[in-house]
Amino acid sequence: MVGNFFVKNYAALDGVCSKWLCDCVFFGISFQITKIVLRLYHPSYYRKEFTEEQMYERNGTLTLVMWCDVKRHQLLVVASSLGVQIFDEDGRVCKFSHPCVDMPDGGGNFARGLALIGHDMLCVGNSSGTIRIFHIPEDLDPVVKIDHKQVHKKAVTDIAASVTGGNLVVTADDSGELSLWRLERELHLVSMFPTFRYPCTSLKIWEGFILCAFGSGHIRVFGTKTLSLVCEVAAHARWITAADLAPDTGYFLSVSEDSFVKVWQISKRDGMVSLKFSAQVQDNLLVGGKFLCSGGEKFCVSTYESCNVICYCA
Amino acid sequence: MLNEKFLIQLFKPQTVYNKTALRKLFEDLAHASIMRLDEASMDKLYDLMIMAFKYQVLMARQPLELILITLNHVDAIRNFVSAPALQTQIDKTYTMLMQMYAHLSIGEMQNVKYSLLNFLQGHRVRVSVFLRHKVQNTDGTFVIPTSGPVPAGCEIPGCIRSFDPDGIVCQTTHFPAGGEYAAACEPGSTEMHGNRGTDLGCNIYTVPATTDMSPMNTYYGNNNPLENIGAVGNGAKYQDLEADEFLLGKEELNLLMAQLLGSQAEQKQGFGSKEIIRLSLFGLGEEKESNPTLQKEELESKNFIRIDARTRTSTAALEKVYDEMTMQNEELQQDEDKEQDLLDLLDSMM
Repeated sequence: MVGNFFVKNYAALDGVCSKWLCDCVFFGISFQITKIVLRLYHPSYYRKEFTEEQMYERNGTLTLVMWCDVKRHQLLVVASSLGVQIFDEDGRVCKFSHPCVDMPDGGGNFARGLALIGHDMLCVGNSSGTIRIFHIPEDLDPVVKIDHKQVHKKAVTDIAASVTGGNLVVTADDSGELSLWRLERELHLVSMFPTFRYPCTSLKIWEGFILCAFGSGHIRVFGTKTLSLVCEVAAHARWITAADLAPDTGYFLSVSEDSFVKVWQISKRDGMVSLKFSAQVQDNLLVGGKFLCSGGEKFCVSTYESCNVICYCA
Repeated sequence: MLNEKFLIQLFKPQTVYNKTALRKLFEDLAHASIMRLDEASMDKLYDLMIMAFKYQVLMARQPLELILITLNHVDAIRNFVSAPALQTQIDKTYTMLMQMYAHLSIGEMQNVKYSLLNFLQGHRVRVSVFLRHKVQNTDGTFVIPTSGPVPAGCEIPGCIRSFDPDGIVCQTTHFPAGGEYAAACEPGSTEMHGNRGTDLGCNIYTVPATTDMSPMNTYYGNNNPLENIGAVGNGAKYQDLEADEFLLGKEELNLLMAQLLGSQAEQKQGFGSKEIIRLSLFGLGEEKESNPTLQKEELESKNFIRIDARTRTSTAALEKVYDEMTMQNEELQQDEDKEQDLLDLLDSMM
């Protein structure tokens, strides 16, 4: 079943890097040329009703947003050309902000790549290839930087951390590098995977497997124990712009510039991939895709230059 | 436009130009010649330029193709220009382009593409040539093709491979991928001169002479029979619409000359000749004033035919035309009688 969910204006969900996480709050991001505008959309999308408030507006370029559960709080973390900002669950109050800049004199800096390690450590990448790890305490104050490491030569594209412990962190950059780290007191390199020239645009870690979506349209699965390539899928004919994982079932969602959205099943046993669902959103460059529930039965996609968020339901 | 100082400023790392500044720059460029455009025409021209560029950026299959598209633009400029000083400027432009972009990784180039796409967002003007070639929908969005070659380094979707810990493929399965993609072509050349491997950035108003294939978004590989077509300047198989109209005009002029001069023309002009004909409609005196370099010998040569309409010639066809144009006074008086039969009126004209 497919439904359309219309957001305020197309600037709301445009942006070739609009990613958003939907748990019970549906969140839309506005990505105008010079402004970051955050808009929160509340549920009942199936009734085509929503309430929306413009929460925040600043000059800058958005790269990524992420909801995360830290202790008792549901936080909204935003990465952009302004660095990293942490908002409370209403998206009204900015609790913490850090520019994440290594070369203040050089222009074109941005933060990109967000991951929560364990329960209270936020990992943020940036355009110089460094990662900063912040500790978020119970009452969100003070948020302290605990590590800062140059992990890549080029801009970080995405970061993922294992949910089930082991404090594994995987990072990727614009040049196609892919590295696995372990966080103890600081980040230690475990392995560097072979580069595929095209960068990895989206990373997830699940059940001992690293799931990577590449700009070449490939999806690759690496084992965290074998540290080798387990499975490779020629999934799309163009750049994969976004990917998501439903942790309950092992469903993996990929959206691409080729106008297709595809849902895959990853096997918990051996990391093998099979196709579950495929749909074409005709003449649309897809830029964002997210599951709407942890079981993966519902998901939505966003497209370049369109106000419509298209929702799919099994 | 390709002045070195301007280029140095242009190539400084900076954010994307704001829209007002770009529009102003475009207007200045358009008015650099004697051409003058009113606001509506300027708007249309700007929209056309933006939409054509948006089409090129959207259709680039992978980010490095933006460089090839830009090189197509530079190649086209090179073909318009003949003065050596200007050719040097174009060479310098090429060098600066390569210095800036050739070393960028695919990921960095994708960031550039995203910045451009963000800038171009919101422009949804329908362009007739795009609509005609069915690459644009009636709502202004572009068609995203699900066929054609995949970019270099990519694979036709549909295959799942599993590997053992030593990296050997141990199983291959297939799935229906949707679309009808073909294998990647050879990447285009980024040398100063070369086949760019893509039509994006070339003249969209040229029409392929031999096939019905749309000139839009065509990619050329070794197996493609249209391999040598592409950049302007290599127009062997392309039918240039402008050139055709020019030839048609010449044929018509030749016919006119034949009618005016009768048999004389056939002998002197060489009927059907494709030589350039200059038609001078004004007296010789004016001709000398306006064109002092014209030699007296040339004026009195056999190739220069004088026609004086004040004196009647012996050409029957021309006489008839002349008579038909002349209205007699008696006929004019009869026209005032409104009850006159229409047939009578026609008879009097014959």
